[in-house]
Amino acid sequence: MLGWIGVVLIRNEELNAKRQVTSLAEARLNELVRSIDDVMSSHHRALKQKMVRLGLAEHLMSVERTDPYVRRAMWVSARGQLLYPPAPTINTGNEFLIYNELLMMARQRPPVPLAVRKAIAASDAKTAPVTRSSSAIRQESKDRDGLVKAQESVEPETSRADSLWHESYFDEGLQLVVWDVLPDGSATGYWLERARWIADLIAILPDVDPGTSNGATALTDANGNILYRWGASDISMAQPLAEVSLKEPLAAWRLKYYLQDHQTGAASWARFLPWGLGISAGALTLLGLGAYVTVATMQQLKLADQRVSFVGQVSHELRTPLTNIRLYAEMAQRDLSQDTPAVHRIADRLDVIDSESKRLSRLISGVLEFMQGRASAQSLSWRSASPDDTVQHVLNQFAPSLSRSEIAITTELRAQQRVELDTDVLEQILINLISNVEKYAASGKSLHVTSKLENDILTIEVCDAGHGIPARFRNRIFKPFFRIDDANTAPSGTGLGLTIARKAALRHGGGLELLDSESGCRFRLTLRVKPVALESEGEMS
Amino acid sequence: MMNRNSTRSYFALLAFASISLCLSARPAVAEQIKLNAALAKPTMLAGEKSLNHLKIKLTGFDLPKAANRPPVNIAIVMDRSGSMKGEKIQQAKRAALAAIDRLRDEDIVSVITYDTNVRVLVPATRASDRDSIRQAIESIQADGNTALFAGVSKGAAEVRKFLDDKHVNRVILLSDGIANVGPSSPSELEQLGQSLLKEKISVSTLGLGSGYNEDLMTSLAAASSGNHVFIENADNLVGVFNNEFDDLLSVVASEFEIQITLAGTMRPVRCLGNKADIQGQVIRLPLAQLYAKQERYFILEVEVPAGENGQESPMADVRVQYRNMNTHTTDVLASKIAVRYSDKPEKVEADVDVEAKVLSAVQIAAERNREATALRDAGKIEEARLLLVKNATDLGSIADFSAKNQYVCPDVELGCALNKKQSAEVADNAKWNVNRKGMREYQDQTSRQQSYKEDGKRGK
Repeated sequence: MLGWIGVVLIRNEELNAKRQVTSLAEARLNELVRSIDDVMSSHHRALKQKMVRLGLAEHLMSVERTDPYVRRAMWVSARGQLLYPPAPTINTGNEFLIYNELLMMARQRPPVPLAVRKAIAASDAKTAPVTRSSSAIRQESKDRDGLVKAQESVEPETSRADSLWHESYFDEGLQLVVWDVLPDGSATGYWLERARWIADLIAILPDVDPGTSNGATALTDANGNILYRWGASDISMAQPLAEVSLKEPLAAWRLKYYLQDHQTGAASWARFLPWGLGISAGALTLLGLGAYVTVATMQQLKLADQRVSFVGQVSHELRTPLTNIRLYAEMAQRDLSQDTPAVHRIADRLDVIDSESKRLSRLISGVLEFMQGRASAQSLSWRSASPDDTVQHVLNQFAPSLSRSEIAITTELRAQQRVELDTDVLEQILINLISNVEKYAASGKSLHVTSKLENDILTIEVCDAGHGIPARFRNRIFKPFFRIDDANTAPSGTGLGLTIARKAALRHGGGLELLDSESGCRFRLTLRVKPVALESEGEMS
Repeated sequence: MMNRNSTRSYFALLAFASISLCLSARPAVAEQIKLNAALAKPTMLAGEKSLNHLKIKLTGFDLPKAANRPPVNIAIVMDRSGSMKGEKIQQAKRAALAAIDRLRDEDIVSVITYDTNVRVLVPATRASDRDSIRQAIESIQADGNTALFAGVSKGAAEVRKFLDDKHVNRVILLSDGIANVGPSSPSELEQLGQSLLKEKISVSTLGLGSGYNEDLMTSLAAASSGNHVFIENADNLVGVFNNEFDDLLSVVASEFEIQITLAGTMRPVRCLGNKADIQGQVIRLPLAQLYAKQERYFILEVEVPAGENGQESPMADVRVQYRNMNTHTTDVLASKIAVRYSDKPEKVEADVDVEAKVLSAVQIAAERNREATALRDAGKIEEARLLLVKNATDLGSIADFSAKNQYVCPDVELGCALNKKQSAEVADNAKWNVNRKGMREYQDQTSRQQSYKEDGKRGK
């Protein structure tokens, strides 16, 4: 019996070891997934900025000629007809083929806004009455456009009203298009140069693996073809140890981590065999003892497992600012080595190093907070202060970086009155919420902060106009390490930030929740405060 | 970017003739590129629609002093896969070391090697750090597979770190193999090349031995306006590298925007040997840079409508804008082309522009040579052979025509000899692998009028 327990222990230990390595590997891969997502998002942003509403054909032509990321530009009417480029008159190479592909892409343009459709319908009604259903916008435009209908059987539906990227398959595989719908219902689209964005992804991925010398990582496309790899070159690429998907639009692509076999399996067997034999040798010991050992060990193993996963997650959180610090330090060094160092550029670099260091120390204190876990309300350090002062202090801290991201700050502060509260806790939570706005909702270009005091409850709301968070994720975003998979429509999450913030709010007798909002995110923070102990200062505002 | 205040316009006005006159507002102040635009048949036979060829020729000025050359920003991307073992990798290292020695302190260089993996051996850095760069190159050893696409991606990323219009930006790719890790089709490499060209980064590809994928290497070089050289013998590598550097170190103009606007009745057919951007009546020609004293021409094939005897019609406006690397100004050249009609064939014959006619013939032959390669690939050996024979014959008569007009063009004789040799050997399966590379190189070099060959000597 004890022999069996020994075997179970060994097997558990082996599985556990493997799980630990796997979760570490996944954490590393997820970090890369984010870098890739950053590259794709910045491409998207850059192209969106190149959209215009006037002088279209000329503008599109010039973008095609000069933008390294644009393979072709398109302008498509509300009815799905390709207005630009004109059909090629001569075939120099594969012009006809490309044009055909453009026609297909044109059919997948984003749907026409309802108001515009009504206007078109009104003019249509005079000539040919058409039955329409209000729900299926795409279907309707297909019904009216014979070309689109014909295409449907060949091409499955890939375009969605809210997706940033439109996908299609041509040449070597996945092709990406960014669309913009104009007020008249027509749309402009940029077809990205596939080889170029792949080259850019390769350029940001590591060349030599600094972590392990006996592992290898590969970026694979939807068919499992390796696009890029790094790490040990003499490794079997049959069974990845860890595997993660990229985010939209590359959701079918994967990062895979491979490890030499002996790293997990065989080695741990050998390591734990003597232990197993030892337990077998004590075969006369009571069965109860055996059961106790099993349960106790299992619990320990489970705990260890969680801790490893935690360390893995946290260490990748820490690595991002650290990488930036190293990178900018190197760049500053290189600037200094030039004959005439540009002082302002070096100052910029130092700014980044400074702000990243601050981010790092915030992260570390957050992690420590989290590890202390059951810290009770007694650990709060109450002091008398005006909540609005703290809010303003945090906003001032963020002002430079928010203005760099062109985020306009508006406030409605009505909690000027002095109360007793832990300003560190308030500051920590605000920093977390505002840095989220900066990181994930910069596209909304706005940050609105309100505060009020009612019956010893301080309520602060932080609102942005970014992409927002889908309803189904509302509660889960506060879970540790939870990240929203659907990349671009939601923030990619820090994993711990909101968890820590909510815990801190709870400790302060309040809460942190995500409210319904027409656009973007609206977080409401509540903290239970105490009236100022001795002399009352009365109303200030 | 472009400084409009410093833009000088030079109008080369051309009235029916084959010589353009360069009238500059401030003559002899600074050296300028020369623009020469001419029709092969300035006079066409009246009463019938026919094809004509428009030549646009640019000539680089001489660099005043070697010391004044613009700084370069290069990435050397070196294949160190298993097949490079032995003499090849040694020669490649020697070539790279010789190249490093030619750089000046303010130049920027990076070294990237690839096998199965890619390694940024020397991240973009000033060439003043010669010793450590040399050490890194010395340490290169050959092993593994060929991640060519990733190698170029990383090389371009290094060049991009210091990308600006004062530098001559270039990735030099050396490979003896086929790409077998990552994107590996000629069209993918071509797209990458097109994208890099928009950023003013060119990729020169040096193919070593007979094992590399010539379609991939030529597509990449052509799309990015770089050079391609087929190096059969590793001993010649140092010489070829030196030539690549000669070019690189003598760039006098860059950021070209060449635009031809055809009159409404004219129909553009194709640009021979070059991928032009043809949209309606507007044709844009690709050119990344021009070297000192380099002559570079484009031939545009145009369908000209029928005209009456004695009629004169405007045909095209040519506009060339470029960055003068000597004066750091943006200069503009312009030229107007017209065509006239005559009902006398002897008049048409007498007016022929010798150079435009000869150069058109050279380019047409290269286009046909491409067709011959495609035919051979499709197994149509006899058709390929006949096409090559026709090429040799046509070039032979063009050689006679040049001789009669005392016009010297080595490309005609060379093309004639090559096509003759290729037609004789096209059926030989054992030689096809090497010969195909020779054809690709001939096509590519004719298209881009590259001035040097494997033997390390200048062709012109």
